[in-house]
Amino acid sequence: MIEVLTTGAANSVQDLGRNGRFDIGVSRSGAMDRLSLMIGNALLGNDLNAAGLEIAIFPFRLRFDQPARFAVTGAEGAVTLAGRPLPARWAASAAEGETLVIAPPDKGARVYITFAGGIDVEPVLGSRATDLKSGYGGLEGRGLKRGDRLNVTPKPYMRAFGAALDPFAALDFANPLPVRVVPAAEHSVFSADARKLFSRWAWRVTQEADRMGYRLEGPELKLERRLELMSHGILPGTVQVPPSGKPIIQLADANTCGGYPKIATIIEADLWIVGQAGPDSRFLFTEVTPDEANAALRKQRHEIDALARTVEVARSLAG
Amino acid sequence: MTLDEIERAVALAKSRGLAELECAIGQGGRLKVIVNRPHKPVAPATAVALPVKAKNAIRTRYFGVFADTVPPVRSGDRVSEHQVVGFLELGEIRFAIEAEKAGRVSAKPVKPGDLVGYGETVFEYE
Repeated sequence: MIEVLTTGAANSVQDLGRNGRFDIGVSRSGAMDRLSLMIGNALLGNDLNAAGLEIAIFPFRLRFDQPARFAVTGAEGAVTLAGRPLPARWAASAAEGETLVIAPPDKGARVYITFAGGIDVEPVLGSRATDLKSGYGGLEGRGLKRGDRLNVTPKPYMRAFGAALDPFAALDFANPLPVRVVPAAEHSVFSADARKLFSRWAWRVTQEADRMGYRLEGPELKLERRLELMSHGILPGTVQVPPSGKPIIQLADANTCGGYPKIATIIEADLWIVGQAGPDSRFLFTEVTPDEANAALRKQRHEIDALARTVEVARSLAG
Repeated sequence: MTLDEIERAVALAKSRGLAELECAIGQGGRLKVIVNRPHKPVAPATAVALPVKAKNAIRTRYFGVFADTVPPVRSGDRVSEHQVVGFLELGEIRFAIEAEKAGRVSAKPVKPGDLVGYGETVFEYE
């Protein structure tokens, strides 16, 4: 068991999400930065879809009531186990009674804590992800609170090691973050100026930014002609433009349908960057083709698979 | 097969001046250790030239590509006991190089990206 000592209600149990149920109105949920969750799981030899903790409110503290193996990935900052600092993207063993402390990060917005063997909560509709909007999945369908106890698998001590794979190395949060998009269904209905602005403006994330979506601040994006749209399916990554002309990025807990025109969709391989960008971060959208988007995702999955394979070898050496 | 057993095999190969050692392990497995011998005998020369520094050195327990911490530990920095002073990267994973005791770094003979061997000195300190 682990016990939560300090937390905020926006911290939750997440896996890769509830996929394939958009047709019955079930949002994907899952980690906002799926890449970091997968790196955390790969470091432990877990199924990449195993549930971990998504930490967005800091400081976060938990105590291990038993020896366990865990990894901390995602946003980078001060992380200590029993007072000893841990490097970034690190898998380590905790002894019974030790406390893990995650301070507010210096780089990024969300930290992931994964555990060897995953977190044992009941799957709902095939996933352990918490849907905070609808109130199911994860731990009783809610965010974490002090005193919560979660079941993790006891694991003996093993030498610590980390991931060389460092997605954060290329990101400078002080500057606009490059995010790749593919044009969405109504892209061509936007004015030429709006389309140009969309890919040239450094869009700022407003305070209205949570697991459902981010509202962006920037110039007004105008349509070429008036549009009457029926409600249609939307996905995490869909960029809609409501009548205000200010784009909204739909994210993990977003509704499954909506009626605003869609200018673009953020590619899956870059969606983790959005999940790591807090209010006041800026995005620079670059248009790519669907083929380039698929190639970027394949490259990313290949890197995670390579990490998982190396970890298998390391575990046999470090065990 | 544990890491300590591999370390013992490497030490054995080195102490007997063997370039290569191969043995049967576990259920039908085989371990092959190849000791890359430098053209000149670097290790004994270091030991003779720097007999005092040698015992205050941080040596690697693996082979791999050296990587700095963030921020990097530099010559002149103070390090505390068990502080992570660098990493050794083996493909997609990295192991920590820790200071065994507190002190001040006097030399750092490696730079990021250098391939370092087993038992090599990566930091000297006082």
